[in-house]
Amino acid sequence: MLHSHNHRVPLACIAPPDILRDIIIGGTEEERRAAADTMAVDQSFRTLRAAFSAMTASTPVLMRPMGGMGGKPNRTIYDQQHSNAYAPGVVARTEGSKKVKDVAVNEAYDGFGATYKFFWEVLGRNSIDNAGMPILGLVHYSTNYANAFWDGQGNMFFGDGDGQLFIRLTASLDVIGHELTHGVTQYEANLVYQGQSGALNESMSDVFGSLVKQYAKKQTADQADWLIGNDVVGPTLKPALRSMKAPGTANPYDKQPDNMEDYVNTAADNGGVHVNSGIPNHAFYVTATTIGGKAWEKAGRIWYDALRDNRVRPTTGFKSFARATVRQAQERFGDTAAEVDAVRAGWDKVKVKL
Amino acid sequence: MGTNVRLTRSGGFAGLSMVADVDLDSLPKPTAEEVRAALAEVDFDPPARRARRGRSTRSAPAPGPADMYQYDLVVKDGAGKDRTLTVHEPISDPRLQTLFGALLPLAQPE
Ligand SMILES: [Zn+2]
Repeated sequence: MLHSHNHRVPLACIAPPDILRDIIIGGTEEERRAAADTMAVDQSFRTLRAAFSAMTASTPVLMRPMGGMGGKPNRTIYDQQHSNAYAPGVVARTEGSKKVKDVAVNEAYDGFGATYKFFWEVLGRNSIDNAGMPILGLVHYSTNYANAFWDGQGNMFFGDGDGQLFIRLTASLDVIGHELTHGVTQYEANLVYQGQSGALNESMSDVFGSLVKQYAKKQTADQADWLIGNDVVGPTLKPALRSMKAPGTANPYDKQPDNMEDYVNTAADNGGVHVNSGIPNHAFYVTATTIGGKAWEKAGRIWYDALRDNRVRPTTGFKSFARATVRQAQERFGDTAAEVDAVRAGWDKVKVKL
Repeated sequence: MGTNVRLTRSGGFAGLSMVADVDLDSLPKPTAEEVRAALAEVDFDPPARRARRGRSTRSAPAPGPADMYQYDLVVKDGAGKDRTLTVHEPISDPRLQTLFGALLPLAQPE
């Protein structure tokens, strides 16, 4: 479960946007990915992103980076064969190829497909970076590994589980949606994985992970279970990992607060990012159920617009993000719309003062 | 009083803390020896930490990765001198890999 490895070709972090842009247009795939990574992590990433958007808007379709016109994912699933290495293992399934015998490989492939479809059809987003970035899943990572993670460099790792905490992590669509959304967040607000911004980062992944599942099941907000990980928890964490409807009640170890007064101050878990995410998770649940209907249509759109709001910065906390959701709801639905009241009701319920 | 070792693995997709809190004297001899040997090798003041000192006491992870584990180690030797270490995955130090590998099987969810 512990490793020493770093596989991405580092690219000078001081490269100005126009050089990165040239690489993205004309470089090799490896260079393009490194450039995209650099753009994503650079401190001035907003400026870079704006330059990049301006460029893609005026670039003929054929010259668009990697993804063409969008609408179709580019998936590759690797079999890590229980290795602890971070380097991609054996290619197990590529885009458009047939089902294989390995269940985890097919689950990752199909789960990425459903997640891509959600972001494309509902939000008009073309993959992780909104430019058709390849979606890479690495399954059978390590031995009895009860975890899944996004490595920050374009790879999603999935363990087979230990049978106690989790069974194989690919068996859950909300887990796959959760991990891919970490990539989306990195390419948008790039919320720092610490304290409140880290808890927001976590919450984004739970919100969109849950919406991916709801969209696939065609459920309304009232029909949805609002649970995370219920398909993959083992006996210790049964019946679910987290509940957006009732944070803190999902399993005997669930310590998530559902309002600011119970915010957990801790040094563990990067300042409790998986614990305090209960607060924005519940705000989303209240907003979505107050609006009613399909949660992705309005509440999901508002949250996504807020994630892309230029005033949401890497260090943004709950209050600033809450204000961004109100602002985006007003812009989309009008200052006095019922949707705006629903957003306010969500944050009011979790005691985040606007 | 002998040496007490407390390892907390937090984070991961579950956000569940797993804690191993052990007095080395109470462990089966081979395990105690393995932990003792690994502890003797651990650098409790690695270069990254030395560089950070004075600027921030927080060991914030690099932006990007998510749902990877954080490890907090506290070693009490009974002489009132606690040694602590916080590290995030990926962990490249083989001494820490050995130590955590020996302690994690003893960890319980918290
Ligand atoms: Zn996460």
